[in-house]
Amino acid sequence: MDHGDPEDCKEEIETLKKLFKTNIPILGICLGHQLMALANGFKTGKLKYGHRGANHPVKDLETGRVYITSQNHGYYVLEDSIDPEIAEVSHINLNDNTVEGIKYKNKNVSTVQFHPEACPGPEETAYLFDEFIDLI
Amino acid sequence: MTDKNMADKIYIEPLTVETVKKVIEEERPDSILPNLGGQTGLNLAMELAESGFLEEHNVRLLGTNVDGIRNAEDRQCFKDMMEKIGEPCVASKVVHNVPDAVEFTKEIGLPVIIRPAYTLGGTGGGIAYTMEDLEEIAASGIRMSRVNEILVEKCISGWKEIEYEVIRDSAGNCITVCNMENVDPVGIHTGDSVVVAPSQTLSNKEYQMLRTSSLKIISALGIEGGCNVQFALNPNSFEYAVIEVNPRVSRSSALASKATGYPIAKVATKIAIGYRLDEILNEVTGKTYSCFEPVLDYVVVKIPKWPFKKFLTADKTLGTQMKATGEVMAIGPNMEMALMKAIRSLEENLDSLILPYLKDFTKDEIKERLYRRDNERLFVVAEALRRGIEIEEICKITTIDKFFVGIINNLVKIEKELEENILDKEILLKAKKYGFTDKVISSLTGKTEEKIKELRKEFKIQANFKLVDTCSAEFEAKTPYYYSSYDEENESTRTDKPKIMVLGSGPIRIGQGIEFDYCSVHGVWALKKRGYETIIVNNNPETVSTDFDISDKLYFEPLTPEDVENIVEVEKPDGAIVQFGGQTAIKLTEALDKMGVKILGTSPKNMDRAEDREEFDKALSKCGILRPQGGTIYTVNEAKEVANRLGYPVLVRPSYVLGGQGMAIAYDDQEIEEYVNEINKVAQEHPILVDKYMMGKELEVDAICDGEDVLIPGVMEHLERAGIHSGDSISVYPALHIERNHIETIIDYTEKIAKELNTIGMINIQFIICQGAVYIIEVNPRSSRTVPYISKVTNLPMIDLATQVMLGAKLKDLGYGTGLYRKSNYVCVKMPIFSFEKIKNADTSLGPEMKSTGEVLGVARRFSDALLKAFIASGTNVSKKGNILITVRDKDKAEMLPIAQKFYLKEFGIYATSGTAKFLENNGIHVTKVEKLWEGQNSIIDLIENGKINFVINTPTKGKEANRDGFKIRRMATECKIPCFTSLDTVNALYEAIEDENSEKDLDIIDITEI
Repeated sequence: MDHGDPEDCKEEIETLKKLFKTNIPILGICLGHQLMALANGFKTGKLKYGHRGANHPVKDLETGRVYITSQNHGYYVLEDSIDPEIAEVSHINLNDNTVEGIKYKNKNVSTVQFHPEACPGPEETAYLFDEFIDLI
Repeated sequence: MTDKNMADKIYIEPLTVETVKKVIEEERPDSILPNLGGQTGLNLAMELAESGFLEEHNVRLLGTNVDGIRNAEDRQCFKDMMEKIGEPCVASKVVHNVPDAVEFTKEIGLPVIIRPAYTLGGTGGGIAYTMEDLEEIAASGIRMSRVNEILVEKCISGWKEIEYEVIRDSAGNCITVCNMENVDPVGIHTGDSVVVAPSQTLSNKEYQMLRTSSLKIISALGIEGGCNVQFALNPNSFEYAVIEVNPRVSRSSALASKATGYPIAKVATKIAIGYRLDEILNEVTGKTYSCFEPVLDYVVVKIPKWPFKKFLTADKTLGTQMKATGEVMAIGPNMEMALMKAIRSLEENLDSLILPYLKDFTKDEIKERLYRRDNERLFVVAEALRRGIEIEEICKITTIDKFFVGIINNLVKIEKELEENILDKEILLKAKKYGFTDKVISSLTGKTEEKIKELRKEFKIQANFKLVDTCSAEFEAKTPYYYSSYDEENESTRTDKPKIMVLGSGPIRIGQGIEFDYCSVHGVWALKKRGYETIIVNNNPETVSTDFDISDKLYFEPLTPEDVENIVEVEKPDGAIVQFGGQTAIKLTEALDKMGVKILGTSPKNMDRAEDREEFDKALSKCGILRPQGGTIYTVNEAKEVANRLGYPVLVRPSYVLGGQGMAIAYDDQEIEEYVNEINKVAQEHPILVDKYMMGKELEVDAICDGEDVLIPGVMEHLERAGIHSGDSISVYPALHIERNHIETIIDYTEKIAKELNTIGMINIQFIICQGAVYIIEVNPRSSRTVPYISKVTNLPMIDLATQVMLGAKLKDLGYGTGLYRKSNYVCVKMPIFSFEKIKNADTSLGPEMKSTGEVLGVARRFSDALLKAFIASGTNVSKKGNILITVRDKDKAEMLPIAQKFYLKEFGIYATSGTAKFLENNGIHVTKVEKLWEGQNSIIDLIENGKINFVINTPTKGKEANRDGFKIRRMATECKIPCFTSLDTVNALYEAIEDENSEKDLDIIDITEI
């Protein structure tokens, strides 16, 4: 299910740019996470091996808690490319410290690289949906 | 663990609150880690905490808090907490008496399970199908419980039993290390179940549902460390119930650690001292952190090792009371192969699912057997499939999941294919991939083993080794932990360092316990220190030797010639050590020799000279050493002939066994017939030995020999006379009751025979002193079960020295001298521990066949204090007054008299059965005569059940009959936890501890590193 290079999704990135300007709460997952980053001018890169499987530890930087997540991606958002004026890293992967989640400033927009909805996969990051539901 | 290499200070003392308090007062520790020492450690810590002692002494309880432990351990607290967090439990109620148990059962309906609170391995529990059962089990459960408390619970027998191993840190991060599924559903204790990891029959929904529940539970308990959660899952719905939570690392944690490569206890300890999961490095990859969940690209199977061969009268059915003494684990790329590997790791003379005697059963009889839940269940299911009983029907009768019956069926199908077809590459490869050894293929195809091996070479079918890496190859593994497969690509690469293979000792069983793992581990350390690469082969998940950081390479494999040869082909070791791994490793000597592997230490030929009757006799007479007269036999008639020539009583035993398996003293023709027939039930490769039985003092020596010199750490004296297995005797070091000239003879004989047998390394010799003469009764050219004990009490690093000697060093250069080592200033008493109460209908009387499952040590400056310590440590309540029940056979009466007199003068009440009572009365001792077993007010059962009796002395008339009164008295005492002695020598030892004015509070604690 490798989506290939997210930069190829030109049309979708344009749509996200428009959506980002509205005040609609947005939760991005996986490719959605990458495209939202690209829509904001951040960069993506290719991982050497990719993250696959249901046992990836991800740290929520706000709470310090680590969760086990399902992942399936070959590209990732480059941390250095994130404009601190626009967004901040919210989650990282403990194995290779890559970006796993981004929270956008002054917007009800947050995105995660992993799959809180995965099936099969652990259910413990379902709290993200609760937070999102609270927003809408 | 009680070893200098492990800790800075070591106290080998009774695990009682009183003693631990003394240690705390002496050492003033900052903290106490309660969750690694099983239920025993946890209970002790709880008592210390609850009494306020820890707080008073500023000792912190690490890992979890008192409330957390109580919430998991106390039945009612646990139920309340589960209710609070919305996790389902099974309908249950805590009660303290039988009538309440009956009333609640009427409410929820039969069947019900009884679980006593605070007991290890579920001692005293059981399933009640009728009200009569209920009353019996409830009464015994209440008695067994430390707090006289039981849980009566709705029986959910037949649901799937699933366990999760969970870890949580102080920041609240939790992970599940692995889950495990019992092949035997709820109803059979998880310790007695065949277990597979990871779970095989759960959907993602079920898996995640239980995982989420585990995380919720460990968080609610506030555990900082490891925890084990057991679930029952309804196979027909998503209904589940939490059965039990252990707020500590457990037997299952050990299994999970070995199954995944995730070191649970180590991580739990680091967490306890404050590290977070995301700070603890994963040692397997060396670059990722312990905060992840291991992924298995293989299947792990555990099978329990039961002691039923030792207890012919024992009830072999399995239930909620655990009966296994140990377990084996096997790893395979598919479950079939793992199962086959586990079966042959058990060392039960079985290499496949074929249990020969079942062939004689009719189809109906096999079907009938399916209902019985016992240790042969797997084999019965396989036989049922062979007879064409439908899978559905087997599942219905056994409640074993269809998936697992299917696995067994796949193996049965391959048996059939092998039997019916020409052995081509396709079939052979398939059989190998499913775990069939050449030996099994040979017996199914009628071809020789050599031929099968040739065909394998021709078809290029070879074992390849795969890594256990915790991450399914996502990251590179740094720890070389391997299992074999017949898949492509070998992941084990040979280095060019000099390398030595150390063969382990397999599953823990009576006669071959953890002592041999001590030797293997110390051997590995000694080799490493001298620059060798070490390779361990073993299959026991409970051992230290199978930790991936002990050896340079670990092969988790069965200890059979073929499995070992596969490893030899890859590693081409420069040598192998067999003398540390008990009989399991010794049995591989011949095969290793044939493979061209150099055996380090005593040569195979010389090892054989100690076992081969004629050769051994020759060696002894050459040294001028006496041994009891005897002969070798194969048949009953030969046995009778030899016995009559020697004169009864005689000692009968098979060759090449450990723990006196099948060994017995025969007093007449009828008995010898019975015993020889019993031994011959298993085809014997070697003759049976018949020796004159000599009643005398038994002594034992472990020594190291380099071919020229001998170093003897000390002479151990057995308190029980010859005829009681050395492993079941109380052993005292240094020998206190032996004349000096006898000690000198023993030293002299040890040196002579060790040199005569060209011993290089360890040797163990057993002596008897009978009528003023010293005899040798046995020589074992290997390390024995007393090596750890004698090493610890003499502070002599025996295995290290023996290993150096095997590598070519000379004792005189090693700095510990030669001859008899200096005598200790302390007296050390090793006492056996038995598990009789757990094995229903096992005869508790002691004899030449070993029955103990463990041992304790008492160390003190005075003999009586050391004895007292050992008795306390063994759980014997050494009351200084009370009542004693005596019932002995006629020939022991005269010897019993002075013992009875001693207790009588100490104002013990003496109770005796009619014959014994009459004899004592005639000799001036006032006795309360007790009635037959079950009759009247003063019946034995009444006295024992009401706790009126403190000790029982019963000497058995005949060893092996279960329906005699003596047998029943012994069983009853055991089940009521009243010490029952079957040897008068043990009673004399007990008296010595009772007579002395000191009691537990007067005993000094001793740091054994300073001996």
